[in-house]
Amino acid sequence: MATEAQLAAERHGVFLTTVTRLYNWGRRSSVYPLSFGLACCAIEMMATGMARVDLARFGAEMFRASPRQADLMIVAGTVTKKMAPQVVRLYNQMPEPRYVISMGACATSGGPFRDGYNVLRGIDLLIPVDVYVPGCPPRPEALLHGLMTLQAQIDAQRLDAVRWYSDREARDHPVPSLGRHGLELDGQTIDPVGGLPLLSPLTSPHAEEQRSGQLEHPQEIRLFPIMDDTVARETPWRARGVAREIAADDLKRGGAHE
Amino acid sequence: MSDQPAAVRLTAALPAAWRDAARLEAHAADLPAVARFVRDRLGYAMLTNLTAVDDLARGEIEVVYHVVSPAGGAPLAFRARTPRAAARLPSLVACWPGAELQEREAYDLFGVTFDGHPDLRRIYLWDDFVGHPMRRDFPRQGDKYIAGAGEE
Amino acid sequence: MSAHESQLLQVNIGPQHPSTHGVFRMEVTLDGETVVALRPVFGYLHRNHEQLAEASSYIQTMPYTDRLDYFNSMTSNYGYALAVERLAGIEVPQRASYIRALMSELTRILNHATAIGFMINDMGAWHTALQFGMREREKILDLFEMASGARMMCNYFRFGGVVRDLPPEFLPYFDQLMRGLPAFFDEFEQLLRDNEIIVARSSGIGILPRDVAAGYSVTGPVLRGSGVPYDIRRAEPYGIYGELAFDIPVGSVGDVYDRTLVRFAEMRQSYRILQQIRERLPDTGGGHINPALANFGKQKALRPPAGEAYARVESPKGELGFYLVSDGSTQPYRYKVRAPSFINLTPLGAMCRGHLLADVVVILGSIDIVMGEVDR
Ligand code: SF4
Repeated sequence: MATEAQLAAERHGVFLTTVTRLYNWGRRSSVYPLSFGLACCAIEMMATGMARVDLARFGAEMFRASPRQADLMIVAGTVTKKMAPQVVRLYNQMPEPRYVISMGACATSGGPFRDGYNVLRGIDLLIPVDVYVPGCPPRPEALLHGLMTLQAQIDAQRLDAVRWYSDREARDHPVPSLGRHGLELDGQTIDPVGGLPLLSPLTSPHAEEQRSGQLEHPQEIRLFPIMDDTVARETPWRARGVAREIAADDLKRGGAHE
Repeated sequence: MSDQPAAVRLTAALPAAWRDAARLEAHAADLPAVARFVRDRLGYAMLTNLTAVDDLARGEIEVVYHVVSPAGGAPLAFRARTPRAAARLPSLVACWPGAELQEREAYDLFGVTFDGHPDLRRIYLWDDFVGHPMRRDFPRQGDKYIAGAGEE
Repeated sequence: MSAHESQLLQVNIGPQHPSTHGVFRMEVTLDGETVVALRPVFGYLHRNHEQLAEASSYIQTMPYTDRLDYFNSMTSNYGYALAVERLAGIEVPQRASYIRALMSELTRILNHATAIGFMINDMGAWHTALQFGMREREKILDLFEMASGARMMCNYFRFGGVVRDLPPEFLPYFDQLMRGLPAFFDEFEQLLRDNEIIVARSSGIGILPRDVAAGYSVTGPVLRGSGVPYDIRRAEPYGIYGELAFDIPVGSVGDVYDRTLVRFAEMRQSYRILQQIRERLPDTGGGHINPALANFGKQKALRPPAGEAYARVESPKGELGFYLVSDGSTQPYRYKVRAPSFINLTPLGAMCRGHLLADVVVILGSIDIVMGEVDR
């Protein structure tokens, strides 16, 4: 939205911008991630930093080993209950403004290991997440896209609205402890080993890090089309979303090819 | 899966040690003697794998030992059983130091106490935790177990 | 200890540490800078692989094995497929065995190249050396992607074969890779094997003597670095390995440098194996999978007879074993992974005792662990 006066000034080497834009441009172009690998996804995170995809083009190649020097935590891998307190503690140690990318299915929801007794069903139960990158593992390109999404989010922040320049206090996120039956917070079990979490996910940081209040309800059997009896009784290829070849291979459906 | 001649030599040399000689299942108390014979006389210098199996139907936990010889050949498997309620077996760390972490794993996940183990602590879960999650009666909850067929 | 009574210092390394290869933790007791005792702490990535497998049908576990050793999904697949084939008595066609061995050797090159890179990263060279290994890894991953559709988590093996035959563009690209590999080995060895700093940092460090190595149950390059020529591909050949010519490189002292040398040499041996496979691959017969199991529904409905089976393969990290107990249903009654990087950690405390703290991470790097397999 350059005005005539602005263009005229630029011709003389004077560039006009807002403080917020300049500030955000600086911040988003030098995101320092915490070098923090949990599992398989971390290998793809490293591959993202290597020659072929080269994270450095986006200013985010400086993986810092210390949370004090980092402003982005890429949770890359399965968060187990034993590891969860450390992840929250590392998050608390990062200076604000801080961002979290949840990389891969495991960090987002527990992924393939969701039903394991020692696996946390998503890191957003304990810390707020800015960007979720789906995949198992996400390709390096997907992580790059996640980073670019984060950069767009940073660009959209306004200096007068962000919490860390206001007089609202910064809060540490409560660090759970390892109790007799699972993760505990203030003496209360919040995520038992072999059970379901009693905690709702945190909303995004823009909503002031609130809990959504929505518990997950894995107790209810969720019906996916492929498990649904009514769908299974129909001729397989009419079930929506199931390719003919897959349906033909499926013994449970029967009658597909016999 | 066992190497036949070695198994025959083993049962012949220690006739009293077996609860079920066909499966090479030793009495718990005779386990160290069996282990020493297997290592020193049969040349199986490596304890490659130690597995606990929870046999819920018989109320016992079976521990299977796979040993191999550095010279090559198929592994030899021998085993011992112990009641689930008081699972207890002699440790083989003195014979094969390589058993150390594997026995700790069986202790943590199945609750088998190995007498004579130098440092028997939980290995995967934390020390305060109660219960042995790999036992088949440990509570399980999750989509997989609810929707899954064949379980229970 | 000197005449002055010094106080011991406890240092905690990990679970979040750039040199622990994931979420491994060590509690080190130091006297000055010398390690007096070291206690490994596990479980930060214990994600219940075995229990989930016991609640899944046999083929459903195949993608989980990818995530055991996430550098080498191919060899993990191989071990599991072998165990189930033994349990259910499934024949594998010749061509499938060749493809399997081809993938296993590619993954061995990939693993050793990155493992050496990571170890040198631990020595303080940061990611410079790793860049070389990762460059080669990307090329090999392209091949995996052509064959299986995924870079890391290939899920390529099926009971009785592999999921599909090599696509037509695979072999030209493979030949191109093979032409480049010797130059890569030369460059890699020239830069790293004879590098003065690396020799100084790694020789005489973390010695595992030959006579105790087998007792600790270590396998793979750690055992061979100690001078024991034990390789499952030779000791109990599986697939087509009985017909292939290759040497088993061994070390002499059993220190960190020996293990690194073994890895360098094994990459060249894998190259040799790949050449032989490439030569014979066009003449192989039998298709990529056993026709009786070519339908995926048949894989899903597999019910091995009641019984047990133990199968092992030489994964790049050592002996990867799978122990299965079947009760005749579609799910294994017991599923156990004999994870090489877990058991190779048994002598870690003994190997580190008496060395400097800075050497601990190098010794750990030379064992080449991957946490997905250690904690499962
Ligand atoms: S999402 Fe997949 S690749 Fe990533 S840590 Fe989980 S299992 Fe591994």
